[in-house]
Amino acid sequence: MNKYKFFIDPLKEEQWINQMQKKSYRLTDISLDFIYKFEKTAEDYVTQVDYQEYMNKSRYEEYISIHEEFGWEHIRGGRFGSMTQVWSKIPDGNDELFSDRESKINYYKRYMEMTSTFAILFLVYSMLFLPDGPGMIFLTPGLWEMQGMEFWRAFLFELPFALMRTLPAILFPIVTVMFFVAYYRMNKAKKELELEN
Amino acid sequence: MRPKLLPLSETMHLIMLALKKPLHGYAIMQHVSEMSGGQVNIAAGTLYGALDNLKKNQYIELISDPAERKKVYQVTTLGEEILELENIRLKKFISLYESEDGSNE
Repeated sequence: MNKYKFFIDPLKEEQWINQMQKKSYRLTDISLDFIYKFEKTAEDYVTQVDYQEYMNKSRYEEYISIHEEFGWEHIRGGRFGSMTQVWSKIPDGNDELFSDRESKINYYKRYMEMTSTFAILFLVYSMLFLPDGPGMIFLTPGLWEMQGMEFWRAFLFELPFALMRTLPAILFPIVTVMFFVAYYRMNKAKKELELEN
Repeated sequence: MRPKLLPLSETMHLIMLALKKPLHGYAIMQHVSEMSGGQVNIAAGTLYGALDNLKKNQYIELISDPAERKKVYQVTTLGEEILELENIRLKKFISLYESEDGSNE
């Protein structure tokens, strides 16, 4: 079964996957960041999401090998820091990726670095695609001077193209805000952990 | 100046003590659990992070063949010196504790 979802916030992604897995499904693969493949299972599965920056080949092998020794199955990830690392296992009592506060705080820090990088990237995109005015969206010459049917025909003809041109200007700021919200959530989780003692 | 990572965190400390003998990932966790009487159960991500950090500071090294699936680590000579420094520091602490107890008598 495929589910189509797109997550900005890896904490929410993890939560959602685990909710699906409570309904006797297990995550088998994630393609293209939005196709989540599930299969029916009688077993319980727990999924944890991690983020790592670029790792060279031997570090990546160590990363994979150590997790696999603990029974984690690598569902999705890579060594270039371009995506999150998704790990699943059948629960055996050691079902978290991090067991002390220091490493859990470091994990939030890595996430925050990733989300802030993306937030800034999308902020730049947003500004690049910002239209200067309606003249930038509808390009038909003399459109706004046309009358009646002639206007509507030209307007409707260009509308899909105009929307496509506006889409990035609408989408990029939304995604930017979502990244900032995710950053804020992680910062809050990190602060709570730091205060807890 | 103190060498990096000192004083060692509980997790790092136990990992380094376990690695006086060559061990692979899961066995490190088991040894640490045993040494701490079941109090410290290291998770995979925490172990990876700690090993990576210790390795970066050359306190431990990867000794298994790169082709080997299971990665085996061991404390280096520098790592042994670090453990010795920690041993001295902790002994001092213990003597502080005990002299304070003794002063009441």
